[in-house]
Amino acid sequence: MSEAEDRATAGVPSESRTPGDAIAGAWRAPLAAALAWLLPGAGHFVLGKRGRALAFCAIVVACAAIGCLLQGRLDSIQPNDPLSVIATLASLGSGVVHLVLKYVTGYEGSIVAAGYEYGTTFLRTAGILNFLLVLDSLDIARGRKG
Amino acid sequence: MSHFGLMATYAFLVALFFAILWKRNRREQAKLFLQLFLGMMGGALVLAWLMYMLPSAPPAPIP
Repeated sequence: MSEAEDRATAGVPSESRTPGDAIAGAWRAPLAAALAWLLPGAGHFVLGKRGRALAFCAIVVACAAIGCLLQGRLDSIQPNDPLSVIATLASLGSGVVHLVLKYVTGYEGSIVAAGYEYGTTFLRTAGILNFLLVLDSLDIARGRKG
Repeated sequence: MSHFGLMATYAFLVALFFAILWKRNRREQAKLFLQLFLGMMGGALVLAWLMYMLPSAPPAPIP
């Protein structure tokens, strides 16, 4: 391994790097985490865990899609409602899915829809599951997990 | 979709997610998936059965 490669992979155990691993260096963990948040499964994808990445992406997007089909609420912070902050953070976890729904399609959900409560649960779950993917990407990037 | 169908869909997706997240071996993934899926479905049905025995509240007034 060259000196430059040594520097690029400093702090990352060699056994944690896979052939498909696309990023290296000090920015490896934060970049993987940022990508994982932005696009579900992207963190695992750039770390070489392609199969898992596709499965995770499909699950998180399916959760969000079902939530939208059921017309669940896409949370936003409400004045005088501290719990809405937690709910909004959970919903924000799905990254680009949340951002596209909110700012591109203008989706809000419908409180009179029959599946409103279920839909809201699916949308929040998509965000929370994606937060777990961010943490998992960090662990993989730091060599704590294979 | 019915309440039961939605509950089953939710349990399926969450169980699949954690099975892939926590296990690497296919056999272990399948085992954990079944444990989580059946645990969530069974737990919900037991809870629903227990709640069925509670007295029901009067219907909410229509505004």
